[in-house]
Amino acid sequence: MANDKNYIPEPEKRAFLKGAGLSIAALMIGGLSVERYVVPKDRGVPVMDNFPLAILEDPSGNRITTDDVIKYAAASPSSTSTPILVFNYPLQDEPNFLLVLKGVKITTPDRSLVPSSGYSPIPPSSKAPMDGIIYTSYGGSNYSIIALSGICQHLGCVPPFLDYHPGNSIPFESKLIGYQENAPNTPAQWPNYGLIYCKCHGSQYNPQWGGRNLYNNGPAASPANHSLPQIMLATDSNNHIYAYGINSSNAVIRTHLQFPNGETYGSQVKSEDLTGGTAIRTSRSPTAYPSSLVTGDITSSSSAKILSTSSLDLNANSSGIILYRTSVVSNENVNGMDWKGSFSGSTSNNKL
Amino acid sequence: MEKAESNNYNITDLMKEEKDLPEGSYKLGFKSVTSRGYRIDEWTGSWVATALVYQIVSGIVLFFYYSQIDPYHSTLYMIDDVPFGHIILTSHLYMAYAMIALVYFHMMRQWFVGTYRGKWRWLQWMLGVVLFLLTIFTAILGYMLANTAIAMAAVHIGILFMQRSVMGRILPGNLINWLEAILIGNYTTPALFSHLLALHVAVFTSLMLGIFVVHFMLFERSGLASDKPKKGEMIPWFPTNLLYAMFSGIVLVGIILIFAAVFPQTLTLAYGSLAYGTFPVPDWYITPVYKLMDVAGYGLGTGGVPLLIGILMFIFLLPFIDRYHNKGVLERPWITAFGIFMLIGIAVMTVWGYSQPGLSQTRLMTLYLWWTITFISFITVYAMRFAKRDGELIENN
Repeated sequence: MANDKNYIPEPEKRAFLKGAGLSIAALMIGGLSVERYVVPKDRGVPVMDNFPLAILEDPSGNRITTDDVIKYAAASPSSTSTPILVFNYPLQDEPNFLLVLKGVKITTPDRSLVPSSGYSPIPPSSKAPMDGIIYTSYGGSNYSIIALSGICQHLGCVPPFLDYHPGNSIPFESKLIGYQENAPNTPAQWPNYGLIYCKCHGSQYNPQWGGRNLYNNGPAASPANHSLPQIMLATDSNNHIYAYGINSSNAVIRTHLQFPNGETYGSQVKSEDLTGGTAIRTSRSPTAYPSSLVTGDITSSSSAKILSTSSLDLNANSSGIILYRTSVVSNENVNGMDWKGSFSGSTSNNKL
Repeated sequence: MEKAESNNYNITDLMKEEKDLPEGSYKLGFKSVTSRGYRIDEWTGSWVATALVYQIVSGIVLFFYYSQIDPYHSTLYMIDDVPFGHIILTSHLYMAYAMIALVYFHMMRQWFVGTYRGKWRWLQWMLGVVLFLLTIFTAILGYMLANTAIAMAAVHIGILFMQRSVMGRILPGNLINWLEAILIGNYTTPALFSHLLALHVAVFTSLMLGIFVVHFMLFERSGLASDKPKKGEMIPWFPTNLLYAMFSGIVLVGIILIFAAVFPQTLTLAYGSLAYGTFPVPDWYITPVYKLMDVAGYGLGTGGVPLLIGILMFIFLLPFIDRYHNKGVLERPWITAFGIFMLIGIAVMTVWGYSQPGLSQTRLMTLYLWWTITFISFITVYAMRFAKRDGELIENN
């Protein structure tokens, strides 16, 4: 039988081929349908329709004002570091820096700050993120409050790996890569008030130019290829601070691309709208939303603009706009204000 | 009526040579060796196997106390409140370090001695490379599980790597969506850590264990490469080989436990906490790859990743790349030189990556580095070859 060299197992061969064909067909059909059984139902579904309106609180739940932030950031002017201020927005586990840039006023776009060489100038009408002049910021004449995404655009490192370094605490690694304090021929290349530096792979961003990525300036390239997204801030008449969106003219937060025409920044950034995450907490009193918000330089009332909540392009339901809450946490306590905490979404209470 | 078979309670019968197998049966054998086989450098694999067994046993204990809902605090709980928890957790970490170091040692030993050719050894080598990758991946998954700041940095980097690298750009969106859902869930903390835990304790470990069994049985099929079987001199596998492997393994476990007791592990900064100046560095086995990306000089996509894939393919296909007729270490000068290159390269990258992680280097620096290592690798091998030939000439005259 099986030892006979002339024996050809025809029926078995046919049965085997039939079985193999059926198996492959079943695998193909099964493979097509298996995705919906494996992929969670809430994956790819937006957590919310639009960027939320979130009021900034301290970890104890008290609403904070611009004065609080300035006081906090000015706490240790002589030290080599300022307190780190971080809040989650638009979703949990998406940290952003709340920065007070000392000695810099950036309420009006200043083209002189943008280097003329090294970058190709892009007209403001263009959507390109690299023109470096689209800012909205708030604060006193000597301070400017700005919120930038704390998620590095290179590979997603977050604080404290990605960190703001004031001018007197530029990290050694950054200097090695190319940061020069007094570069004679390139006065505008390197900000003397500090930079945002990522310890993971050496990405550098200029906080004054709206989180612009400083790549290809030094001897070694900064690996990120996008600017840090800017969180849109607004204040009300009590100087409470609200986050209401992400400046899409500047850059996109990773995986949160919000463009009516879809993707504009290349195939490596996926077009997802507020998917893949958990919403931040809602306010204890949902109806207590502000009717009007003020934006602009709050110290000079002439240039301050009154924005209604509708002009912020927020979605409202019958009970009004849902007001979300997000905690501003810091690495240290300052002036009796205890903002020390964690931005991790896994802890229900952000107090450590 | 056929009589029911009686039970055999003599376990040692399992080790007896069976001579009366019916036709068509297959036998998995345990090979005996001569007394020359009992040398510690012939047993590098037994240490890796011991490490694998120890990781499984200590891992099961840790698994009882781990919680995906609050990974960081459950890890703290293991350290502070579980009896012997701190030493079990620390020894699990240190044995993982030892396992990776021993895998390198095991691999480089076979590389220099040239035992990756002949019989089934080519397949054994290739499966060994797969096991090497699985070991590294399992280790990285394990270090992600504690939800420390550095662990989450690794998770974020992994996710973005999937989305932006070759996978995210070339594979269809549905497949990537499916893969991401399998690997990380829907991005919430409990889902993420449930997935990481399943991958760490079940998927990668099972794969590793399965491939290890094949790797080991292939070794038993081929026998020791340097041993010449001689009738009357063979020492039976059971119990001598088994005891030899076990005793050397127990020594390894003892060393690890002593280290774990003397240098207990401290949990680094939790994810979400903010601090200046306390930057944890990735584990040492990741830093070479990490540094390789920095010194590639041409960026991740164009330099680092192809370079890494190239090195891995070279190692994987080594049995077929090595076309030398002789087996001796100096008879295969290019292969040995590449081996030295690997040794120096891994050591330099590890130390450098540990001291300056993620710091991009200039292309000039990169070129200097690679050419220096290449020069040293080849000059040593050819110098030794010349020295050996001179010695032989003197001897012959």
